[in-house]
Amino acid sequence: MSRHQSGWIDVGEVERALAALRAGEGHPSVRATTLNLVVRCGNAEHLKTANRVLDRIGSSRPLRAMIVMPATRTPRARVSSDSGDDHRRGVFNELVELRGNRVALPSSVTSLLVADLPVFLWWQGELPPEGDAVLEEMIELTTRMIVDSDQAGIDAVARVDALATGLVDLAWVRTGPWREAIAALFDGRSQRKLLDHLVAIEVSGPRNQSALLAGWLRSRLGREVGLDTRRAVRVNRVRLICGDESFLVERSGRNEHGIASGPGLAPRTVALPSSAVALLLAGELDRLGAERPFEDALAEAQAA
Amino acid sequence: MSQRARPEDNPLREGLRVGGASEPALFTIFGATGDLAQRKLLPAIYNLAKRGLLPPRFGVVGYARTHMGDDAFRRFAKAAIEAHSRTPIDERFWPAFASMLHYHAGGFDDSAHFHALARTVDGLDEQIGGGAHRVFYLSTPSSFFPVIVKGLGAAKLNRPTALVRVVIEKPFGDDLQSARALAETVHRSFHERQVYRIDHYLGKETVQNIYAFRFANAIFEPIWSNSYVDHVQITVAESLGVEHRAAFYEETGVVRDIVQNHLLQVMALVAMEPPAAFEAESVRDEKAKALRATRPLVFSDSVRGQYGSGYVAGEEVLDYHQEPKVPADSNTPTYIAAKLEIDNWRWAGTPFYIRTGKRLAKRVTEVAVQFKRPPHLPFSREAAEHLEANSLVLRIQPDEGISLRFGAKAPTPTLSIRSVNMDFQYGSSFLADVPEAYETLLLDAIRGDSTLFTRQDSVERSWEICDPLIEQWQTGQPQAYASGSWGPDAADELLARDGRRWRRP
Repeated sequence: MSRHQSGWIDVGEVERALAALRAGEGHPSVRATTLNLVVRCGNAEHLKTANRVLDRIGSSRPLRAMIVMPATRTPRARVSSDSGDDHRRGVFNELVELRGNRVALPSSVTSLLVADLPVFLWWQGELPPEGDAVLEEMIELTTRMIVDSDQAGIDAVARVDALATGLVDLAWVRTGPWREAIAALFDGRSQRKLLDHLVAIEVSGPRNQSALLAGWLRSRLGREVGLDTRRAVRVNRVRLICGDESFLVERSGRNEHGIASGPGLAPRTVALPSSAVALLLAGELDRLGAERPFEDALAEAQAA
Repeated sequence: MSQRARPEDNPLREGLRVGGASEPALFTIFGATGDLAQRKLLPAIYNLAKRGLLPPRFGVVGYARTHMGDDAFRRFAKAAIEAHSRTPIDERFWPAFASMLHYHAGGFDDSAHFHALARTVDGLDEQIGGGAHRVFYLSTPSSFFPVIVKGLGAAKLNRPTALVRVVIEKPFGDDLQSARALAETVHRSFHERQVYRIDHYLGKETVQNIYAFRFANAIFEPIWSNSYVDHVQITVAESLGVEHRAAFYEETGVVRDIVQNHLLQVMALVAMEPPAAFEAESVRDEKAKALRATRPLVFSDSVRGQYGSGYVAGEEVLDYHQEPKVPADSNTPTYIAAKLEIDNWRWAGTPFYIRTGKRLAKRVTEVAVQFKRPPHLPFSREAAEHLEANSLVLRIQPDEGISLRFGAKAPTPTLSIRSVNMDFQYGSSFLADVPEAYETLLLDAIRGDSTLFTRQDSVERSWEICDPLIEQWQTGQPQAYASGSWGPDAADELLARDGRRWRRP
């Protein structure tokens, strides 16, 4: 991969600088942008994460990325591009790093979006309080907003969900393999009958992911399901109590696989990957629109 | 068998994202130690498993004559997957995958073996909770198809019809009569809706993209007819010769090998009317209608060729007659160029030219839609003398993508219009790994979606289109063409007499 970077320039000069980078590659490259990705960073740690994630995502999704970070000055930008890696077939990605007054950032972003392509906003860290004009302006621009309730909290995410169409929560995405494994436990008719007696679940995992899992079950089944959480850094175990019977999905040690078992079922191996943020985010960039089961689960989780 | 709830009865399944198969399934491969199983089927199943697309309750039964146990088959499968999979083996995942693999040794001609297989399959079905869908994949030479389907029927492995499917590989006969005879044999044990005839071309992402391109965009369909299209060119060019398949190829020839199946199927996708829904019967009905409207190939509108010596990509290669196991007097065609006419409202008067052959200049498959010229050019003759008609090229392989050729003003002081290409490269917009065609098709077979599989009426109509020419080509000699060229000169003349020419892919 070859990467070229400009110095700090005015926002108005960004397009020209990107064009110069394209022309200066020294070999043919293809600008095949399929999306805009705006990454909001609140601190240096977020910036580091954003750069690491974009390095990985750019190799599978041609995009224009804008890293947006508030600072006390008129917005300035730094542009870079990369292309030429074997796997990338010479496809040209663009990265714009924008720093400046918080209130001036949405208009800077607007001026730099590639026309007609979807806009994804990945908001790292905590979400601003209700009524924040900058957040609302950013949401206005956005086709899909990506947040993480493990960082921002369920209540804040639920608040933003009311404003944004197509909101997705990375904490919810992390529970995906667990929901798949749990759903598969109830494909059989006799197991399906036991699902009617589900009264509570015990989860060993992060609090918000546990709440979303319980919210998902409540919303799918249309009734109350109790939740007992034992805190852990990732979901390791979910036990579903159905009357006198119980079903279990449990990670095997530090593995990315586990065992799913229940009454009348032979224990079977299930994949329970703990995917890196880059992988989770890349998956979300392939989707557009709202995800109804998530919205329902979020509402239930918040109500509990 | 125990009763199972349908997935739609499971409220937890709603909105799950994976999109794989959910109902339990057992996948039996006849010819499990053969070349196709090693190169394509086992790697495809492995990659489906790794992508989490297989049902949670799933098993594979390898069936072949070689005697070995489950463990030996798992080692065999691992070696095949290591050698041929598009993704490397994940050692952490392997034990879980290997536990799904089982083996049953047996011949194809003894009903006792099929009864034993039935016991194995029933036992596995019970192990995974019962009610499994059963897919029997015939990865054997086609001469074994009749005896295998008969054996499956005798052992009642063809029931229940809603859960059992049989997948067969081409060739589906070698003419209309034998195709009908094969279907009759298969239908004695299986209903047509249980029969999945696989043509791996139809599982390619870029072939499926023809559906998306035509029916998801409003701007092309209105001009997709004889009102605006001058003609269509379909090219399936191979740079390789017959390699080690001369004995097979001598029996087959280019028409049976490529035209009757891949090429006519692609043509049908380009020519068909929009289906009411993207589901099996709607899509296959429209394809069948397009084929029914296609006139049979005729001698006078066809050119046959046979490759001579020459250079392909700088390498000197042999004359067809010098290939091992090719008789000195062979008249087997390795090349065809032909004009096809479709007698319907949309395409009457707009020919489809097809060409396919071995040892051509490069490996490429593409569909080129050549549009008519504007009725009037308001420019001087000099300004537009380099302007070509618009064309839209759907590149199926390798360089997958779509390009649109149109006229643009060259930046010169005097008005000069040149043809330029607007190019979409599949691999530039979608950089993620593309699944193998077999992954797509195997998953569809497991799920019971037959949209991308060929129905018997299309198979028979394709033979009706090809048989007259195959018959006429029994005698006489094909024209020689140099390896590394685009075929015999007569192919150029075929288009030249209509005032057209082949595009250079």
